[in-house]
Amino acid sequence: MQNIFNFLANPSRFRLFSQKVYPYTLFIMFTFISLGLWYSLFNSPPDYQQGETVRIMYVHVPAAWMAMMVYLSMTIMSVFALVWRHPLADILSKCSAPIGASFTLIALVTGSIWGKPTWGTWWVWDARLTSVFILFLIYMGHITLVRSFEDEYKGARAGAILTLIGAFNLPIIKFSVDWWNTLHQPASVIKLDGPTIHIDMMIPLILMALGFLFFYFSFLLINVQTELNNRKLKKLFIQSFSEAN
Amino acid sequence: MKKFYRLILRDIHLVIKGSSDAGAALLFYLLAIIMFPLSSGTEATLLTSIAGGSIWVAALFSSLLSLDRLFRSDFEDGSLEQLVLSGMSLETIVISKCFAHWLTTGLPIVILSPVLALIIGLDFSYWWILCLTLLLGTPSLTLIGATPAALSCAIGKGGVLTALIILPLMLPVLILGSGAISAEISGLGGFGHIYALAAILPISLVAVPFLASKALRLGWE
Amino acid sequence: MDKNFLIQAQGLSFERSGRIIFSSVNLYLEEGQIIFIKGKNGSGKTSLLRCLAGFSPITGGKILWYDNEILPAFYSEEPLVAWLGHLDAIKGSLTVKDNLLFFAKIWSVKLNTLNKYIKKLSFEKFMNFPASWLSAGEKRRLSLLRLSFCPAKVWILDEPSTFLDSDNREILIDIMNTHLKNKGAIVCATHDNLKISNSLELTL
Repeated sequence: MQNIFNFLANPSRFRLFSQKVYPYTLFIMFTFISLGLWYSLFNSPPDYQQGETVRIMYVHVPAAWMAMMVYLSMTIMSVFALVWRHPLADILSKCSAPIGASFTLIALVTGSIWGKPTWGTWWVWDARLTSVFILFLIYMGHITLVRSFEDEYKGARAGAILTLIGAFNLPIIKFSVDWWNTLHQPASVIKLDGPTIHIDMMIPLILMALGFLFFYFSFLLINVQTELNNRKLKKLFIQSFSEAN
Repeated sequence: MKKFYRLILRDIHLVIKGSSDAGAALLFYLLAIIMFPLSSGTEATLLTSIAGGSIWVAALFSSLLSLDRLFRSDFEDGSLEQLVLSGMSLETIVISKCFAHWLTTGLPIVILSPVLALIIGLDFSYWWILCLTLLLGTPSLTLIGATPAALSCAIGKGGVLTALIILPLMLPVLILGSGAISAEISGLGGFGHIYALAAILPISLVAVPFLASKALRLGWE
Repeated sequence: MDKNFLIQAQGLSFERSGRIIFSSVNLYLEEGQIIFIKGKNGSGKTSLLRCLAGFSPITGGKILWYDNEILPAFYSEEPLVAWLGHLDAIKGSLTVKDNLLFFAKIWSVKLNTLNKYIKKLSFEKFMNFPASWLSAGEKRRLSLLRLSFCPAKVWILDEPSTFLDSDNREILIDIMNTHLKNKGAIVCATHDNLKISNSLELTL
């Protein structure tokens, strides 16, 4: 494990690695999402109360899971960046943020669309929705902060610091449905005594979740390549400036 | 320990001499509170229901404005470098500046709150919970805002960006603080919120010096 | 080990924004010695000084202060180094006296020592005025005054003679010589030619 970290810590090696790997992760992502969509649209039962509208769950829930999972991985990478000064960790964190923000937005929008027929309202300020909205704001603040530095190395490290401050929000989101009386339903899958959801609904959920996970991996790799290429270009540009002097 | 107190005294001295805008932040607090009755009409029942929340929002905004320059003046004139080299760890410096900031911004807000509760029409028998939530919440607001303030030193400019970052982080304190007041008024009991609010303070006290020092060192790189 | 080095720096290299500022720099500072850092504009003199103090992290090499790997900007119980950089760390709204007293108290310097140096640099007449009224040269002289009563053994100076006229330059050289005589040591980056004996030069 240690060896993998050290091997990938070199930016040029990581760039080669990601160039080779991302087509495969894209392919896996397409497979899972296609399977997941087929299952969720055609091969899973409608809900006994909500009817067909429950099928939004197969996009809403995996998106929400990914929104939190991306932030959790950003937190871990930020710890690596700040405590051990891993050269790639803050780049990974910077590149994950837009993906996480998108997932959060998808979760909020699909949740709102789902809420209208089921709860009768587009939005309510209960604990779960408010804390996810705060997560979205933290993501947007992170994206803005990192790009407002002239020196992108400093920007990435500043992003790592901000990620750690905002990490308190994750347990609040997860446990908000337990700690407060919320309109949002309590957890049915990720619970201590195991999931209480039927297997026919579980399969498309897991398939879509895996599809979204590989979406994250693929686009993370693509973003990191872009970031590394941008840095290399800027370095060459600066070198030509100092040679001109 | 001696250096810690000396730094706090110096910061308070600077506030008195007028080189920091703590007085202005307090006046802004008053202005912000007045805006609520002015904008929502002066109907008594409406005001009473939003009273606790509006005092909290005003406290948030005035903290926000004064936090931007928490570290900036010492960072920009080189005093922070001298302090670090004088045998004070950067973490100690962060805590002492937060404490001085709270003494000059947060504490006056807490002390003025009963008076303001009268102005804004909060049921006066609940003044104690307003004061208690502000007393527990304003130090957390200062601490939570310290890290973005340190980051704004690293960027070199502050303003809207700092506010954009600080506000989402302060929202839980706002929700708990004003939630405690509404819960108490509606009879549900605000102490659950108070305990949660009280828990944020030691957590921030431990996490913030580490993160704010990292941000300041980033600014020095 | 025969000599006690105050600072040992081996093979230092520093990168910023992907550009190498300096590499393979060695520096060994002993008691009573002064090392002048010379080089063109942009050659990294200020960066080297900031790396030595610990404000900027080096990308290669090792720095030891008193055989210890912890740099002054990270942790020290007492002031290890007196720093005179581009910024003067003077609070304009406080009086000159308050500015000096603050540092005297946190460095645990006795009041009569402070007064002795105030007299030596002829600053008595400025004591009760706001520091913002001083000119740039007088502010520099105030920083020199603060430097001279700092109890640290090592001085790191970045272009100390800027804003100083010829009289004040003499005072600067005098202070530096006194410090070296009292077994202090100095690392100084400068364009100027300061005539001090027992000096080494390091060109970037």
